[in-house]
Amino acid sequence: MAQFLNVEVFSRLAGLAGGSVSADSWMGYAAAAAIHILFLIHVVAVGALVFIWLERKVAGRIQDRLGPTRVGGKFGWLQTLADGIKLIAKEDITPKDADPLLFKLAPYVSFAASFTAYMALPFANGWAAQEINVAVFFIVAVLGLEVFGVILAGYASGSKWSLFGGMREAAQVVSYEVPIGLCIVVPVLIVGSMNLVTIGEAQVGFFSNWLIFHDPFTFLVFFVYFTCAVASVNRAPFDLAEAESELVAGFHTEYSGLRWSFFFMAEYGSMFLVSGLAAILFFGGWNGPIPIFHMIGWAYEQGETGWRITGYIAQVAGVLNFMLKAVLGVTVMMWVRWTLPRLRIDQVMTTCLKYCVPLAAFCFIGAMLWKVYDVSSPHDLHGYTYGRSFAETRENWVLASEDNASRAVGNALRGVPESGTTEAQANSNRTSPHAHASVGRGTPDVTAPLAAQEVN
Amino acid sequence: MLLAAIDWHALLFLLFALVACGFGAAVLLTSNVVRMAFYLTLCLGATSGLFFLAGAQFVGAMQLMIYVGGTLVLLIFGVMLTAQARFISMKTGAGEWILGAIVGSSLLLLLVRAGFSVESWRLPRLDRDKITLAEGQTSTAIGLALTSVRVDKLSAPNEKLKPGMSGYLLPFVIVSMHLLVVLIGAGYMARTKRLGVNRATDRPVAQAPPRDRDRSFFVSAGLASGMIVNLLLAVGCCWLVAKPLAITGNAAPTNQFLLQLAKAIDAAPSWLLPTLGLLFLANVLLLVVVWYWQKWGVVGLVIVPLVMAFLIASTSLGQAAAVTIALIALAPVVLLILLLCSGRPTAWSQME
Repeated sequence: MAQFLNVEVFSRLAGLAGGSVSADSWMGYAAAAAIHILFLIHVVAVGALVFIWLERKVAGRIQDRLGPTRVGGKFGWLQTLADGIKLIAKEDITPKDADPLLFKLAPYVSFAASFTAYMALPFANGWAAQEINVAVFFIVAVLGLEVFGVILAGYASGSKWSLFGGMREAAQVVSYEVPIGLCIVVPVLIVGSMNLVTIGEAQVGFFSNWLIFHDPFTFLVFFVYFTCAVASVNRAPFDLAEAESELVAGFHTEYSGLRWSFFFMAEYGSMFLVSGLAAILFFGGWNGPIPIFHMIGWAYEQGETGWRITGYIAQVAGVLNFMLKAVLGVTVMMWVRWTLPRLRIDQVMTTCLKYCVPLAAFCFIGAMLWKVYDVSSPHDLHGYTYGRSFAETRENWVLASEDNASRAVGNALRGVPESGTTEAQANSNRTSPHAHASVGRGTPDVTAPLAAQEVN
Repeated sequence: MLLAAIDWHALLFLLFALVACGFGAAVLLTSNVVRMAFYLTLCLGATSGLFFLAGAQFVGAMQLMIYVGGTLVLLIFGVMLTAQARFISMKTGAGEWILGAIVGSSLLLLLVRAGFSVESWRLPRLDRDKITLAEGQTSTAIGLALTSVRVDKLSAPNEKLKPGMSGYLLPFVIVSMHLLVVLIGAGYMARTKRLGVNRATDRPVAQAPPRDRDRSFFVSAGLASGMIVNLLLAVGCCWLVAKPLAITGNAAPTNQFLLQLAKAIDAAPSWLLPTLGLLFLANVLLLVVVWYWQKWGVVGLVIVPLVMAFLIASTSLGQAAAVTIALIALAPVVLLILLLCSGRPTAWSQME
C-alpha cells in the first residue's frame, strides 16, 4: 500500500508541483500507517457507538419495549451520539480521597490495552495492522492487561464500592485466563500455527472446513471459549465488577463524563475483539460459508503478490464477512446479558474451575487424539477444497524449519563461523511459508495480501 | 529529505529504552506502593516493546504475559488485599538508601562489564544494510528447541558444544507437570469446605446425619449385572491369554463367530488382551464405586470404553471394530445413567 500510494498518489501530486517522489519514499509509509490507524480507531470508537445503540435496541425488544426511537429519525440511531455529546458536556470530577494521577490514567490504560490487541487482529487475508507470527498469544497476553485499568480505577477512586468492584474483576479475569488459554490452544493445535492469518486461511472453502466442525471436541470447546470470553470481558451474567444492585456501579462509580465513556469503549472494543477471535479460530474468519470469490476466480491465489481490482473486491467482501461474524458474536453476548441473571461470585469461580477448566482440558486431549489418530472430519466427506489443507499448512511449517536447520548444518559443515546465524535468519526469511514480501518493516502492505502465504 | 534521513529503528529503540529506564527510576523514587506497581508495569511493558522492536515477538508476548501480568497479580494479591495504611506509603531511611545503592551499583557494574566484554557489541556495525530482522520466525526455533532439537546448536563449530542439542523437552515436561500440580493444588486449597467451622461459636458443626438413600430395584439389578458381565469378560480375556484359540487344525472352532474372534485376536498385538482384561476389571471396580454413591464412578465408566476404543483403533483391527466395541460398551453405561436419573428422588441427586 505504501508503494501504491507513492506511485499513484504522491508522485502525481509532486508531478503537478514539478517534483518527484520515489516508490520507497517515507510519505507513502506515513500515509499508509495513518490510514490503518484511522481505520482501527474507527472500529473501536464508532463500533462502540453502534454497539451501545444496538444494545439498547436488543434490550428493549427482549423486554418488550421499543428502545430508542426518536433521535436521528428512524430507529433512534443517533441516540448514542446524543449521549456522547451529553458526556462531553459533563463535569470531570475527581473525588477528594482519590489518587489523582492513577484516577485520571486508569481509563486510558483500559482503553489502550483493548486497542493494542487490535494491532494483531487480521480483518481479511493478510489485512492486519501488524501480522505477528504469534498473534494468538499476543492477543491473549494483551487482553489480560485490560483488567489493569479496572483495578487501578477501583483502587484510585478511594471508594469502597470501586475497590470491591476492582477486586472482583481481578479475581475473575485472572481465573478465566486459564480456561480461555486452554480453549485457544485447540485450534492452534489443529492448524499448527499461532499466526491468525494462517489459521483463518486454513479454513478456506465450504463452511464444513471451519474448525468448529472439525471434530466434536472443537464444537464443544467453542462454547467453553465463548463462556470464558463473556466472563473475561466482564459482561453479564459475569458482570460482578459493576453489579449495580450491590456495588452502585462498581469500579466506575466515581467516574463521570468522557473518562467514564472510555471504560465503555474499552468494554465494547474487547467484546468485538473476542468475538472476532472466535470468528477466526472457529468460524473461518473472513471466509464465507460458500467460497464464491474462489469459484469465480476473483480471490487472490496462493503466492500471488500483485494487486488487482477483483482481488481487492474479494478482500473487501472478506472484511464484511469477518465483521458480520464478529457483530453476530457481540449480539449473542447482548442476548445473553438480557436473558440470564447475574451469578454470585462463588458461582462464577465454580463455573470456571469446576466446569470450564476440566471441559477445556478434556476437549484439548480429545482434539489431540483426533489429530494423532487422523480421524476424518466432516469436511473430508466431500472433495471441494479451495486452498491448503491443515496437513499442508503444517507441512510447510515443518519444511521451513527443516530447511532452516539443514542450512545451518550446511554452514557448519562448510565451516562458516559466527556470521552463519545472520545468514540462516536471512535464508529463513526467504524460504519460510509466512515470509513477508517486505515492502516496509513495521508498515503492513495491503496491496500484497497473499504474500503472507507464499508457498515455496 | 530530513524525515527520510532519520534512523527510525534507532529512534524507537531510544524511546522504548528511555521509557523503561525512566519508569524504572520512578519505581525507586515513589513512596506509594500502588504507583510503584503501576510504574513497574510500564517499565516492563517498554521492555517488551524492545523485544518486539528486535523481531523477537514470542519473547515480547511472553514478557507481557508473565512479567506484566505477574506484576498485576502481585499488585492485586500482595498489595491491595493485605496492605494496611502504613504500608501503602513506604518511607525509606538513609541507611536503606546506602545499602541499596551499594548492591545496585555493584550489579550494574557487573552487567556493564559483561556487556562490554563481548567484542561485537562494542562498536556499531558498518554493514547495517545487510542485517535482516528475523521477522518473527524466532518462535519456530523456540518451539523446536522445546520439543526436539535446538536449531542454533546444529551449527556449533566443534563437537564439545554439540551436547545439549536435543533441546529442552525434559525441563519443559517437568515445568508443565509442576504447573499442573500447582493448578490442581490451588483449586484444592480454595475449594469450599463441606464441613466448615461455625464462625460464631468457633466450634465444629456437627456432621449432618447420613441420609437414608434408597436404591431402586432396577439400579441395583443394573449395577449387579454390569459387575457380573464385566467380571466374566475380564476372566475371558485372562483365559484367552493363557489358552489362545487355535485358528487352524482340529482345535479350530467350528462356530463362524468364534473363528472370526480368534483371527482378530491373532492379528492384534500381544499387549491388547491383558490390557482389555485390566480395563474390564477397572469397570467392575467403578461399578462398586457407583454402588457406594460416588459420582466419579459414572465418569470413569464413560471414559473406560473410550480408552478401549482408542486402544483398539491404534492396533491393526481398524476403526470400525473400535467404534463397534465402544458403542457396545457405552450402551449399558447410557442405560445405567438413564436409570440413575429416573425415579423420585433420582439416584443421581443422592450421590456425592
